[in-house]
Amino acid sequence: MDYHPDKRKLLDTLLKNHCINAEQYLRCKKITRITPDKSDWRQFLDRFLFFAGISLLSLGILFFFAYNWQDLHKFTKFILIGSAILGSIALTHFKGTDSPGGKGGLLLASLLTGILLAVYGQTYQTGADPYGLFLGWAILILSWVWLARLQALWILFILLCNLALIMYWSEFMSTPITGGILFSGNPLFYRLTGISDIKLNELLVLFNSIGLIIWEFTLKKKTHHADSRWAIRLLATYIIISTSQIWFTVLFSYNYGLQYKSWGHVIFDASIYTIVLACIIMFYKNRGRDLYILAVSYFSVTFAVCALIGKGIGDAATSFLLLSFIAVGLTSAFTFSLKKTAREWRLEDGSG
Amino acid sequence: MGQDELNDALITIQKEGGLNEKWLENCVAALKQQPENTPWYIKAMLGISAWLTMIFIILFLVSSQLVRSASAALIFGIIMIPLACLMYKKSAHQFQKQFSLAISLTGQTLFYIAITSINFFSENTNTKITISATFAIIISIILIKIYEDKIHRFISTIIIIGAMTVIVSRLNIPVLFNVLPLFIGILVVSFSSYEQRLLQLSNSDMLRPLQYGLLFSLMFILLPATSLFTKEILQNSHFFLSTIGIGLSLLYLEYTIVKKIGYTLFSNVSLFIYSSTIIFIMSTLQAPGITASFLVILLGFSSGDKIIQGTGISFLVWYTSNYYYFMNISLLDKSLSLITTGIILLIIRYIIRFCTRNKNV
Repeated sequence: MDYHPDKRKLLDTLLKNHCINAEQYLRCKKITRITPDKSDWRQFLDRFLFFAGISLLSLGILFFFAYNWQDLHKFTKFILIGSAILGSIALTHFKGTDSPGGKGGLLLASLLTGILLAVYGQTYQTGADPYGLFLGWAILILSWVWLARLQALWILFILLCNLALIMYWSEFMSTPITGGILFSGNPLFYRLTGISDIKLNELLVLFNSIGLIIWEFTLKKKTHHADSRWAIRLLATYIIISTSQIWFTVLFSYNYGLQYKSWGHVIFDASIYTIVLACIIMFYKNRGRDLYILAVSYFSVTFAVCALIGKGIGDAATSFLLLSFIAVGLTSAFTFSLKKTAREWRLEDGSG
Repeated sequence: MGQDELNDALITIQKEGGLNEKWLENCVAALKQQPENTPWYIKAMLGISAWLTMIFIILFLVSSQLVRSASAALIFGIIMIPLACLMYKKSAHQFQKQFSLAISLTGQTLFYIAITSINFFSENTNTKITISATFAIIISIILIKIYEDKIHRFISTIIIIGAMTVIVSRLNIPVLFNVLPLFIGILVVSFSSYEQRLLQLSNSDMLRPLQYGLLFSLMFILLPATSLFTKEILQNSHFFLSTIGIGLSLLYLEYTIVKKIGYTLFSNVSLFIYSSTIIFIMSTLQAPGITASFLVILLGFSSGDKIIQGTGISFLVWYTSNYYYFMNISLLDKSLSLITTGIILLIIRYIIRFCTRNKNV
């Protein structure tokens, strides 16, 4: 777990307190494998050279085809991409879906599927709506995503669904927002963040929250090791950011000409932030046990409270002074809370 | 977990060295008093919060017209910096520590801006900026010693390097800019080589933030060497000098590593490593960021520090992408360059595996 004492820091403490001398310090580092030995270095170099070599080689091949792309016949393009997809699936078949090679094969096949759809759309100029590309891509790779049980693939799938939703919404459901909201002039950024469209943001929060709930409750092994939870943390961070955007838009909407039909609407949107954050904090404090997600949540609350107070106080000088105290106070309180929570978890796990 | 492994290691050392039970008890007692490990994201949150508070305090001082002139800013800066040090020394709670950090950063910001604005030392803007940067270096060195907060020490290190960069740029000798990466490279490698000696003279609370600060600074000062900035910011800067400087640090690091794992200076393995490194440095002469990233990754792995490794890997991806994306050659030439480099790396890997299998090195 990432809140356990680091071996190196423990050793530094012993050296600092003169409990061990330099020779003993070095010996401890060797025994506890903090300092890599010959075999560790060999393994490191082997992996580094492999991944760097393969990455550069793959990119080189990609650039080579990009250079010659225009001159290739359309069927050659389809055959090339199709063969790459089949090759990736074959790799998965021979390696098995449990091996890293097999999972890598499915990841590559999923990425290439998107490229195939894009080339198809480019070649035939069907006039299809952009959301269709992402939706079709997501549907086509769903079975591979399920089979691979790879976090990166799940993130890709969720990303594609989000993009499909944003594209569909911005094309058919929304009206253009005018006013001084930052980035509203950039349609791609607007589409990617929904910063100036509260309803879209609400929908994204709902969709991604459902995804997070399903993900958390279907995890077979409850593990809190940082490495295996990176995808869930990424998704949770995105949900917290999206929800925070709703809060800031509600607070500052009148400054930028957004139309609110009633106070009920304002209260509803403000409540979304409160409810979502409260649920995240309660879950990850009591059951999910993720210090990172709690930290991000508290961070968001700090900004939200500062924004609320800053908006509420008219006098600039008073406002800034108060905000400085509040920012420090809240951060200190939340840090204390996080450390207390970590201590409680450690005690409950029996390793403290 | 970590503490259990360390306890076992201490027991092994006790048996090897014939040490008594009291020694082991002292070690275990010291470990029990170890302060809790704070994850990196909480430290990042604290750091960002300090910056935010600093901005609010400056806005308060300006909007309330307490700071109406450069002189007022100077006075406030002179008062706030030692006040923050005192507050930190006397602080018992996280709130006080956080607030004192914000006060220190605010005081320093006001002080440096004031020095740049007033005509006390000179009327020439260049000179004023240089003097302000010099003050920044002196004050930061003093604060590293007396202000014992890790985040503050990390920020002070970055301020020092930033100030040195400003001084070098004001001197208007672009070539001199390339001395900084060599200086930082030698420093970080020395930190790693003489770690245990430095730890006994000082402590890790000072060394680790300095190390992190230097590594982050190294990554950021090489940003102008990416093609995004070269044309606009620095011309004729001879970035290959930076690459050579960092390359020398890299070779020195490799020398310390091969010595640690038991190879002599002129063994086959050592010579192979040095020659591969020299070829690597020559191939990335115009991209010092790539060499620096590799140095950081090696440093991170040799010290078992995943944060440093992760930083190095992230910057390696960034610098490599920039290097190949902006190279002033055709897509075909870029593809051939990438393919060649990729194949060379895989050949080196194959040679290492072959030699290891045959000679059991």
